[in-house]
Amino acid sequence: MSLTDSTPTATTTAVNPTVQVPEPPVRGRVAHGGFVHGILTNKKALFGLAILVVFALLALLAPLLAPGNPSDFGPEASLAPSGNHLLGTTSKGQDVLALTLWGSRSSLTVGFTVGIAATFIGCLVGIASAYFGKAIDEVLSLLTNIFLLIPGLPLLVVLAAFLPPGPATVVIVLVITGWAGSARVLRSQALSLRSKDFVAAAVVTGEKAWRIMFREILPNMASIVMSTLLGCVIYGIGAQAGLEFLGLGDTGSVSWGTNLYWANNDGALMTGDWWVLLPSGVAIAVVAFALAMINYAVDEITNPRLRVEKKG
Amino acid sequence: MVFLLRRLGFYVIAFWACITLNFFLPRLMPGDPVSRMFSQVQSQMRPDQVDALRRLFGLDDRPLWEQYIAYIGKIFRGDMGISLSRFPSPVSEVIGSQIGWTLLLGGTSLIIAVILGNFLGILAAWRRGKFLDSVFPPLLIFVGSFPYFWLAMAALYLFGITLGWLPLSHAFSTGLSPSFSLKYINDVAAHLILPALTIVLVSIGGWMLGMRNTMIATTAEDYITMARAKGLRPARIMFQYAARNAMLPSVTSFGMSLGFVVGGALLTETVFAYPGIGYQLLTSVQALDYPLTQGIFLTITAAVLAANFLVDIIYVRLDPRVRVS
Amino acid sequence: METLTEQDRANIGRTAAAPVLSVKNLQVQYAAESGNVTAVDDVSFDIGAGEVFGLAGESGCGKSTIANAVMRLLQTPAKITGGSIELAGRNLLDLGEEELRRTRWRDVAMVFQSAMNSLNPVMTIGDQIVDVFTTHERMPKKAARERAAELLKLVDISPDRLKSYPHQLSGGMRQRAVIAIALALKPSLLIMDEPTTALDVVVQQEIMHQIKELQQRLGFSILFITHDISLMVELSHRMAVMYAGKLVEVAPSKDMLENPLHPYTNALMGAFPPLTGPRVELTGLPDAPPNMAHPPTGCRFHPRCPLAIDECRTVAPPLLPKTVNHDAACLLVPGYVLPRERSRP
Repeated sequence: MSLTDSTPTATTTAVNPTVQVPEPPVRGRVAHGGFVHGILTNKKALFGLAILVVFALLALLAPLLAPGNPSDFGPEASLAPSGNHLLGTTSKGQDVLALTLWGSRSSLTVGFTVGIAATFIGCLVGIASAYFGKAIDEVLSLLTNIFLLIPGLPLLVVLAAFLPPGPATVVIVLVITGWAGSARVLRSQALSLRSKDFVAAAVVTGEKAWRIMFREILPNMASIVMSTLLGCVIYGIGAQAGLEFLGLGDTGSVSWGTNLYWANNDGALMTGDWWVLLPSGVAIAVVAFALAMINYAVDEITNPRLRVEKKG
Repeated sequence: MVFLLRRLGFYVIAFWACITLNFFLPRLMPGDPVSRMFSQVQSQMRPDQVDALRRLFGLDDRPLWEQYIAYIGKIFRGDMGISLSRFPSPVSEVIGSQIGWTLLLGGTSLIIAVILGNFLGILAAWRRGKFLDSVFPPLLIFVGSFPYFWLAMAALYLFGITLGWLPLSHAFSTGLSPSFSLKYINDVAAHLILPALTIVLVSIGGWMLGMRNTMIATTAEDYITMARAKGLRPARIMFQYAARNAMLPSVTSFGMSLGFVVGGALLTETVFAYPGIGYQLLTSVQALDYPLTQGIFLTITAAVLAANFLVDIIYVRLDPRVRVS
Repeated sequence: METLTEQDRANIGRTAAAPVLSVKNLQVQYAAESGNVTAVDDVSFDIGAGEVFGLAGESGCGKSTIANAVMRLLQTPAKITGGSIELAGRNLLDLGEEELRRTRWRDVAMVFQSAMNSLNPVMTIGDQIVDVFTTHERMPKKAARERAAELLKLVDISPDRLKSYPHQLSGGMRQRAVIAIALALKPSLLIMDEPTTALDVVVQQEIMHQIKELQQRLGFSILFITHDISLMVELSHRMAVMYAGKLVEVAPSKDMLENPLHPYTNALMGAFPPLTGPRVELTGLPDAPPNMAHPPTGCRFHPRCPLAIDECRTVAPPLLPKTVNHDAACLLVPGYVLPRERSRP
């Protein structure tokens, strides 16, 4: 109904006065520059990224900062924080700082591994579901919804109870219980891209299905993949800690979750050794908070409506 | 009606998937967990009980499909075997005696978190950029970043051990027997406060943020503009027009989040030794009481599915568009 | 075409005497990161009692912004930065929140573009009419429901539709329901922002007919906004053409149709086929409307104007009367003399 519809010279560009740039060519791509710029100028994102970098460095440098096996028992048990032991010691005489530093290695590795694997499966299922549609979509959606509905932690407990204990089990169990949420989100996003012209064009030109799915559709949903990934990492870190706190993880390893498990088992609460419980819990919370902040920032950048308006 | 029937069908399939998972887990797992279990308990059981247990876990000579059908039949008769750690009580009896506490804890904290969280979200969205909107979301995200069990321990340490205001564990004081006396109810309430508070604290942020974001999207709708143009009072626009619509996605996610609440309750129950089925689930795993573990898992799943169906029924009441089509 | 009846002419005569709505030097700006964008620039017009005043222009020219400004519905980043909007002698810009709330719908109501989206999907049509009465007239629910039924009858909808939800009505019915809601308190002015755009042509004609009939019966004034000139000419007594935030021509519809003065009006007329008469070749506008963040210098229409001369690039012509009741803002209108203080060497 635009005024210029009746003229043969002016076509689609006349509709909106603010849009001067013509529609992107057939193979549309998201402007990644804008997104990266958005992240780097967003205070919340920078705050979150800085925290993550600090924790990653501490995890990498753990052998230098706290040499030796952190699990070894020491002579000085249940000491409150002091100059010698900055974060105190456990009832078995282990240094809490060393446990926390070494613990970050397992927690971050498992968290990110689970996050990446769950997002990957989510992408695979979500995009395939949206791309192929029909029966494949029905089956995959059904599977996704079933996994979404089954309460995660009880399933986690049951799986962990039957599988042989070990770090691989923890990762596998967490991925099994964690992928469905991202698959659902990514499917609905992929579904809206599926109907776009550039996908139709690629189908018509006879491109292979996997190529269209991963070279045409996937790059256009980068920001939503990013935010699902962050969510999955948060899930991974939290769920690993929960599983290990219940004693169902790999109790032989040192992670934030096992630190808390042993602290609780050794009665740190009852003896009032709060310093044994504090560091690992705070570490989990701070990392999760940092990831949530980045996620929040990604939301703000891609959904301008959520940005806080300047008053004036 | 078609909508509800479709949902019901879906829940039946989901439950069937869980039963199947339950059936195959002990049969396909490496390391033979069943033998581990048997070595613990065989001595105290009668031969026919051992036999029933063997069959339950697939140490059985019948073909797999026959076992499978027999298994499903048993589940639907409510026969989930005999608990080993609470020998000789049947699994269903053990669960029945404890599920009430979980319902009490989970239900109380869920209702408080949902109502309070959604209300805060509505207010925050309505007064964009004001105090509530700028302070609460980051604060609640931060609190929500702590693991359930850690917050539970912190609350326990602070209010239970250090300040001594509230009881440390269990659902009621030892020596008190369940009755409808004021004393007993007060005691139960006192034991409920800390675990419920923990769950509310961790989960309220999600509700608030979710509601806030849908409210913001809703306030941009034309019918909100029209409601403002109609000269309606702000409170009416906020609740009857904006929140009433923004609530719909919230109701849908309510069903989904039930699973998380169950998980949170499980961890919280563990810390407070609260005698619900979450705590029992963990004890059963530690005692290698596989029949009880599986029974609890199935019960929790069935409860979550049933709750979801209830939510669907409510959703149909709330959204006239689903009701008709 | 029955564009102007004798009664209409009488109405036009009354315009100057007691305008229902008087907009003076209205300016609306949108705050953007790159600076303020002026969406409505120095716009003035009056609407008389019982008059249908049309406002035409391309999408994005600022006509809907004017409608929302009159209702004072603009929200950040949009802001009224100058001028006055007088409704029955009261400046709406001076009203406090509560006064404004009472004035809305009672004195001025609005029919929005899309009826599907302007009705609350989870409330029945009846409840959405009833809450107007219960809020503004403190009417008991039962009485309000009876009034609501009467209103629906007024727009030819059966009263048992009161219990229906918006999605259960057809598009045309929904828009009629919105019109019924708008007429609930018998406002003196009704703003209609593209009331038929979302509808198909047949339904569109039905609605237009109904609006015309109701207007003649109830005698309210209408500020009618559309980009569809043929619809506008059909309904309005007087009309204004808007381009890039400014009014470029104001005249009785008949004069505008027969003797357009501004080249943009000419182009607009040419872009729509006449409803009757011989087939003529359509002539449209070249290029896109201007970017409002950086409007052209001088006359804002000059980059697209087929007749533009050098002066058009530098001189922004104000809206000046050519004859009684016919104003235009173009240097090329015969007899157009720039007021001295505005001209530049």
